[in-house]
Amino acid sequence: MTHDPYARNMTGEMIDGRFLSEEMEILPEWIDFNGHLNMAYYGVLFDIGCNHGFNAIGFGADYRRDHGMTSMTADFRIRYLRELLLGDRVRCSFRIVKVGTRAFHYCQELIHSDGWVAATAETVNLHVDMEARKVVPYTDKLRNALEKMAAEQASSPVPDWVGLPLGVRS
Amino acid sequence: MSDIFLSPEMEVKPEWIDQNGHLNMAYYGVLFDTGVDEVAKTFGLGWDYTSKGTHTTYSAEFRIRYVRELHVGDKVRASFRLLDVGPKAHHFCQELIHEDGWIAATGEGISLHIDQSGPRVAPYPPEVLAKLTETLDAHAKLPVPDWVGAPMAIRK
Repeated sequence: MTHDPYARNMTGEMIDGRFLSEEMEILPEWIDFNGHLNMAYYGVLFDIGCNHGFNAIGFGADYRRDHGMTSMTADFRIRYLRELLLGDRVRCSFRIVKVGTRAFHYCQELIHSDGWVAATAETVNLHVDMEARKVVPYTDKLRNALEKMAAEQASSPVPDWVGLPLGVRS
Repeated sequence: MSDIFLSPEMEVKPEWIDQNGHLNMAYYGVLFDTGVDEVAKTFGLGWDYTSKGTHTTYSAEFRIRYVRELHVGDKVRASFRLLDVGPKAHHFCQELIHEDGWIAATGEGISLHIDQSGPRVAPYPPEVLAKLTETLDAHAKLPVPDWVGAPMAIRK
């Protein structure tokens, strides 16, 4: 199977003030020797679980086809809060933190079907010309759509874990 | 071990390529994770240790900065440098280095030592802590990459 999160035309819905993806299930090939979801595959869930957000903005496969522009990740960080096990079902939230001229910053939570948060993520995403492989400014339409979603989400607080440095307790 | 550790070579697989025709962002994480397997053995935290079924390691945090695209068949190694060691956790950074010498991505992680009977975070055994501390002392002579600990943000 080719990894293709865009093949899944993920839609989202507002639940308790959060913009959530469809449910995703933990697959057997993602389980490691600890008997739980391997750290790297939380990343797969966050990547698939951003598509409802990108589709809602108008930054999905159609945009790539029509404009020759795509999205690429510049920076991605996961905080692991609870283990996930085979067959667990999660949804992924999507909230814009900040919009720039050619990049935006967003954050996500992976929420178990029982309601608890399994992990958090924050990401910087770039707008890229597919042919030139260069970061380029958003089209006006896309910039407006990003700003519109950011404004709608501004009433909910930015999570306190956004922007924290990594470190160990002594 | 006074030098930065380098993993065995790893190859980018076809099933990790996305519609942008490059290594999907999530699978950089697989390479960084696989890239610590060998160095974990040198600390006494490898498969020999975890397969006894009493203790293991979990990831608490992980951050990737994407520097260059990787394509199917590309071969990379992962470096490993310790940044800090606590009684129950260590902080490290990695670079994914293409066989041609350029850096494809950087990683920064926190690894926890876990008592599987909980599972709960637990102190390292003395011999593991000694090995981690010895490596930390050796790595302290090397510069800390300027991207470590940088907050995430966009340029205007």
